[in-house]
Order: sequence, then C-alpha cells, then structure tokens
Amino acid sequence: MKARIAVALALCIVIVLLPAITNVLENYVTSQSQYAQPATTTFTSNGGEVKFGGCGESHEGADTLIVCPSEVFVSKAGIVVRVNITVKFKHAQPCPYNNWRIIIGTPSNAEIINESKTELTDPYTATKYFYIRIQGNGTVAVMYEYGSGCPYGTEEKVTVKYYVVGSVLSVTPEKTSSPPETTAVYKVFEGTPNVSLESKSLQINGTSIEVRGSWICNGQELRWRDILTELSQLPPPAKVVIEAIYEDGIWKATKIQFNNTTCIRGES
Amino acid sequence: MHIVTLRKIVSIILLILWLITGITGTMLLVGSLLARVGIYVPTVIPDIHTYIGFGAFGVSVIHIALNWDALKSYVGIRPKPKGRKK
Repeated sequence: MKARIAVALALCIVIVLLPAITNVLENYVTSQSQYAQPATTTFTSNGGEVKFGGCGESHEGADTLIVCPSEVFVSKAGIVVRVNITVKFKHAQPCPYNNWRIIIGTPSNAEIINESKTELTDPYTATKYFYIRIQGNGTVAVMYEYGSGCPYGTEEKVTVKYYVVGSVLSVTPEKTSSPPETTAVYKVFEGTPNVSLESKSLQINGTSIEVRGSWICNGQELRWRDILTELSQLPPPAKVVIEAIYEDGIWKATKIQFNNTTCIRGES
Repeated sequence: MHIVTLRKIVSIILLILWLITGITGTMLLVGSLLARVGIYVPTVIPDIHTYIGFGAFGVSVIHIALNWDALKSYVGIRPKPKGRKK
C-alpha cells in the first residue's frame, strides 16, 4: 500500500509540473530558433545601402507577433524597405474570437506606400507585409489585436525603428537575431514600354517588369493580358509610370499609370 | 499519516480542483458567446484552467491509489480477504 501511494505521489508531481515544464521547453525552443540564423543583412537598394538589424517579437499572450526587420539602417532618405509581419497562433484558425487584426501605426518620418492584406498561410500562421519609404529617423508600431473577448491575450506590439545614417557598414544593430526572409525593394520606372505578352512582362529602360494577375483600373477589373494589350497599343511616345517591387530576382509591377488611367494590382 | 485521514484530504482537494476546472472550462466554452454581449472572460482563466486541470489529474492518481481495492471490486476483481489464514 505504501509503495503504491509513493508511486502515485511521484506520478502526481510529474503530472502537476507538466504544464510548467512544457512552458519552459517552449520558451527554450523559441529562443534557440531566434538565434539560429545569420546576424544581419546588408544590401543595396535604389542607389543606397540598407542594413537590417533582425526581427522583433512579442509574446505577451498565447499568440506570437514577429516583425522583420525591427531595426533598419539606410544610407540616405527616400529608400523603401519591406517589413514582414507574421503572427503565430497557439490555436488553429478560425477560432471563436475571429475578429483579430494586424494594425500598422502611423510612422514618424516615413510613409507607408503599400500594405498587403492579411493572409492565413496555414491554420496557425497569418502573414502581412508593408513597404515603407524612410525619410528620417523614426519608428512605426506594428500591433496584433486579439479577437474581442479572447481570453488568451489582448495585444502584441513590436516597434520597428529606422535610422538614416551616412554609411550602414559602420552600424552595429542592437538586435542580432534573424534577418527578414525577403529583402524586396521598391522602385518607380518611367518611360516607353516594350510589351511582351508571351513572357507576361514589359521592358522600360532595359529593365524587365512582370505584369501578372488581376488589376483594378479606374474602378474596372482587368486581367494582366488586357493591361499589356492596352499598353502595347499606346501611340508613341507613350509615357508610362510603373511602381514595382523586386522579389525573388524579378521586378513585379504593383501600380501602372498611363493616359490618366491608374491600375493597381489586385489579389490574384 | 493515517490512511483514512489522507483519503479525506485528497478527496477534499480533488473536489475543490474539480470545481475550479469545471467552472473555468464553462467560462472558456461560453466565452465567445459572452464576448458578443460585451462580457469578457479574464485573460488569466485559460492558465488557471490548464494548471488546475493538471493538478486535478495528478491528485486523481493518488486518489486512485488510495482507493485501489475499492476500484478493483467495482470492476469485478475482488480483493483478497485480509487476515484470514487457512
């Protein structure tokens, strides 16, 4: 009898400590994965240099908000960088408190020029990104608000800091965690386009820019083929202004302006 | 400690833990419904439910050990009679 009670007591202690042990292990695994990647990333954008100082993380409640980069150094004002936002949910989505949202605050000394919709990449992950044109030293807050009434947390917040410095090479970022997955940059092209329907792209001043998916042109929905056809039929010397992002080694158009028509890239 | 005293203490602890787990579980279940009418479940409730629930699970193991003979008789395995020698 005594031996049985002793075994039961030992088992009881293990079971009671299980949630605490799981919490400690979870925190340990999170901290390990955070430092598994290289320290910082430096690259050239729009004729200037950019250095990313790592990712910021907030884990006050059950979910985790990760913002990459959370620290940006640019060599001159006017450079555009992409900021990636990821929310890791503890519980699979959709959850009963499904009115959660990701909010980007008003930046100081910078301008947000493009903001994507929030997408669920899997039941446990939501992603969003935005492009910010840095004009001076400042910050922008990224917040994840839990669904109203959600008992697992209220808000996660990460502040992205950015600095305009002479040379980014001499800068040592505060954070040395993982760099952003995508180092996409943003640029505006102006000129007469050479259209190629076969490659779903056009060329401006020797740069090839992809035009894909659906577009909204002055309130009307068009496909990429309609846009390229219209551009190919413009009488010379046609002037087209294209805003594009550089991702995965390719320039991709996000906004096209021609003949008082403004087309903005849709979702697909 | 006498076995009867230990049995009483474990039963009372288990009853309290069972009550807390049940109440917090119900709060979590109806939480999203209550949120629609502006009543919010405190953010500490999921943690209380988890820790107290595991506490109840652990104490129930001791409860089973203390009442092992009775449990065996419930499922049809009669315990050997004590103190009888042929």
